[in-house]
Formats: sequence, C-alpha cells, structure tokens
Amino acid sequence: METPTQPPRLTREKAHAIIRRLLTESMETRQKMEDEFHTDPGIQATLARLERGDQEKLVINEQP
Amino acid sequence: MYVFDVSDSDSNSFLFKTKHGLLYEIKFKHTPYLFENAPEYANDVYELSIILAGPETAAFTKTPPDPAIAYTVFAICEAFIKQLGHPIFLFICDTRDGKQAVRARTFTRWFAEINNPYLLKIDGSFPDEQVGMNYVSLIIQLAHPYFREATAAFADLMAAYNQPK
Repeated sequence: METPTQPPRLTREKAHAIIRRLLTESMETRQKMEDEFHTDPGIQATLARLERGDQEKLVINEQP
Repeated sequence: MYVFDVSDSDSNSFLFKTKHGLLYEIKFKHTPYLFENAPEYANDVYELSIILAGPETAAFTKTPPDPAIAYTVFAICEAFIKQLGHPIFLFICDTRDGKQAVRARTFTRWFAEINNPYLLKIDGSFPDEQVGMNYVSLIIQLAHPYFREATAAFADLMAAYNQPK
C-alpha cells in the first residue's frame, strides 16, 4: 500500500532564506515607490485625475 | 473613505489623497516564493505596500488621525480581490525608522476598525539581529479555496524561522 507523499518540511535555514528575501525585497519596493512617486509620469497623471475629480475614469468603489 | 484610482504606471498600484492633502500609494507586489512548495496557492500571494508619499515639500512627521485612510486601504484590497479572485495579502511593517511595532499596532487597529467578516489576519514576528523584530501579517479570505493549507503554511514558516539553531 502506497503512503501519500508529504511536502518537504521547511527547515530553519530555508525559512530564514525566505524571510530574508521577503524583508529585503519589501524594503527595496518601498524605497523604489518613494523614489519614483514624484517623478513617475503615470503617477502624476493619476494624481492630476484625482485632483480634477474625473469621476468617469475613477474607480467606483464601495465601503467594505 | 476616499476616492482612489489605479496608477497609469502600474495596474497593481493605487493612489488616493486625503482631506489633509496627504498622498498615499498602495501597491500589490507578487510574492509567489513565500509558499513555493505549494503551487496550488503560491501565485495568490501579494505583498501589500503602503507608502505615505507626500506632499513633497511639507514636513509631515505626524499624520492627523483619519479613520478614512483605513477604509480606503481596505477598499483598495477589496477592489484587488474583485480583480484577482483569491489574492492572499502579506503586510510587512517598515523597519527603516525603528517604528515597526507602532506600525504593527496601527495596522491591527485598522483591521479591527474595518471589521470585514470575510477576511482573517494572522500576525507573525520574525526576530532579526539588525532591526530587532520584523512584523508580518497575512490577510486571507475565509473563503479562499486553500485557506487551511495557506494558514498552516504561514504558521509552519514562523515555527521553522523561530526554531533554535
């Protein structure tokens, strides 16, 4: 009788590698967002649309 | 809640402006490697990044209390859920100024305020020699088809990380 295959259990080293990558990429993403926010033309166009209140293009949202 | 819009630069990025003139960007970054051994739901994982980006020149070290921000952030999450179906969110508190514990408490308060009965938040903490403690939250729909497996995998990740050497 075959026993079902179990996924490999996470080792401490593997968990540390995943979390280290997660934290590093998270910090890099945040820094990139901050660096590009005021110079990215797409972001500036979107902000201008928000300022104008261009309701046709804005996302229609509902309170959760 | 504030009106928000998808960024023209990135369909996974959303922007809004508060009544105090503060500019926020909310971004969802695909993070499939978190559960790389579980292809059934690994692709559902997105990091939720929140940045307070402006106004550019104003000094805004302290932001005024504004409950509408929490509602807007989670309305954006709802919009993303409608787009993708079953995204799993990962929120990582910024550690660059050492105020990650304050951010974790604020995020927990936000989650309690929005009181969404369809979402569950699981908190994890990962000690680190450089920054002290990292706070990470997993947010998942109760109706996610792999709810049990994904929450168990997150618990396993925490347990494995915190195992003694």
